[in-house]
Amino acid sequence: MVNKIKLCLIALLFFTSCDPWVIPDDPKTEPLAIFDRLWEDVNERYSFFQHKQIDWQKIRTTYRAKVNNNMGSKSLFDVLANMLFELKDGHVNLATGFDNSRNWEWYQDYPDNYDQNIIDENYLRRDFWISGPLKHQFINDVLYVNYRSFSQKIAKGNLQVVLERAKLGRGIIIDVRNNGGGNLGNAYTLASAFTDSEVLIARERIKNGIGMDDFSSWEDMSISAGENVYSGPVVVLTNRRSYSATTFFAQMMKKLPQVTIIGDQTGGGGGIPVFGELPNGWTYRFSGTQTIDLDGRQIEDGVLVDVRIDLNPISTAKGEDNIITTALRVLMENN
Amino acid sequence: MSTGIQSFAGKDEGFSLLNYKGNKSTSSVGFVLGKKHKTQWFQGDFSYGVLANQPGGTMNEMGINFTNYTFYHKVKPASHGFQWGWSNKNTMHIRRHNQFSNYSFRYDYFSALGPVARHLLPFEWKKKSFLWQSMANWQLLGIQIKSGYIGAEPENYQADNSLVNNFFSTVQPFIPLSDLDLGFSSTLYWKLPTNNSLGLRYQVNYTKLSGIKKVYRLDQSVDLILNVRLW
Repeated sequence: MVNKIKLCLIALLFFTSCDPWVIPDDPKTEPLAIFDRLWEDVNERYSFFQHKQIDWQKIRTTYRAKVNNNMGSKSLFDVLANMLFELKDGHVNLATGFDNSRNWEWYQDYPDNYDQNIIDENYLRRDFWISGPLKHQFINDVLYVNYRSFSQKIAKGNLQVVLERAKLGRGIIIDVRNNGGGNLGNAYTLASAFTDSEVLIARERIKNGIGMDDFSSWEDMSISAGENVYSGPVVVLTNRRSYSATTFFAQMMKKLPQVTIIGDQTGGGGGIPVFGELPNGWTYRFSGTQTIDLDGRQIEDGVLVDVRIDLNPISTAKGEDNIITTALRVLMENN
Repeated sequence: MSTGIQSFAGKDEGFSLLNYKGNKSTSSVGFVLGKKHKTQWFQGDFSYGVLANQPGGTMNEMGINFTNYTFYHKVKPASHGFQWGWSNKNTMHIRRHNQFSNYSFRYDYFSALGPVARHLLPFEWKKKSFLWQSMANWQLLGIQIKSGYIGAEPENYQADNSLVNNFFSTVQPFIPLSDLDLGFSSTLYWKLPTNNSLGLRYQVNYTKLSGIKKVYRLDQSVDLILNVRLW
């Protein structure tokens, strides 16, 4: 009896101390190990190496030479941030407690094409309606709708108010300039309000292996039919700061026959970000999927507009948004 | 019926190479059916808790098991000594990473058969009756379905496929040694005058699931048990 108890106590001691043996240890936290971990994960899961013709091996050689195990956190962050910057992707970030790396070149090198003050003062004015995240106001007989972020949930009731109001006029303008994206579900919700049948809008695939060409098969992306939809003419305004979910929204609307996209092309963001974490607790994200339009063009490069126009400084000096003026003209021509 | 606390350590390479550890609450409901030559034991377990990695990232983890043990005692007595048999274990673990905005949900499921052995040692101490049961199981062969390279969906999952088609295209074999599920428990029961019993159980379980993104977990729990004789 005593021997059996001893045997069980030994077994207990064994089991309580065996997790380091049966579960692999955490990776090392030295700068070189952290660099290698980040580089390897991007190497295995990033989805646009071939499309962007990025030589990730060469980038490793360049940046690993700048890392040593004696460097501090900020220096290591700078090297890793610069390495990730080479991906030229707005969906790539390294988040630490003291800074977030980013590449915002997808809009910084292009015209703004949006002036919030002009919108507030001369288009929304003081008596605009607020239906959830959607601000709307009639401009002549056209309903102008301003949506600032797809992170803001569009409730069914809010959307119905906008649609019913739009039906009183001669068209609708949806302004998603400077809308940096958010929840793709809201893009589907808003786009469904303009079609009474399912519409195929794009195809997507996801990385499913460590090889650069390891992807799942292409899967269709469709917007479903909405209820009590608006079937009149629609203009969507985009600019280079229309990114991520907003790019997807522009692609959805582009496939609807009554929709015209006006402004500048969207900034892209056609790869849905995957997340990871480094041994020191820093987290990061990068694109892990690809989305192409029905012609095979990557929407990572942005959705092109039907009418290309920039804000005119002479117009803005007079308080006019000439992109909205163009939208109004297009809608009048379509009526 | 039992309830207790579980110390859990695990790693899902689909999320991270970091280990996640923490305490989970557990509860179980079981049913034992004693026959002349065999004893069948059905048990369902539930556990839930928040796990953390060394730097402080967290994930929520939930585990559900349904296990069936069958012990044979045609030659030996049912009340004491070694008994051998087989078990079928069905396990599902679901986890959500709290720092990831996309692809933050992953899971694994397996159903596997394997041998099980137990040793029953009834004894008396200070005129009270006790039973000490030690049990070990090893799941050897079966099937598994688990989240794929990125995200929750298993490899080869297609949204357009039917549930049945997706099951057959995503299911993988649970292969001996490559995939592992080992369990050990030691339970001390105090038989009450009413023929019911109270127990204290320590159990440990180790699981490893192979694939392009491996899953490891080791859990150890201490449970208080109430056994009620139904008839």
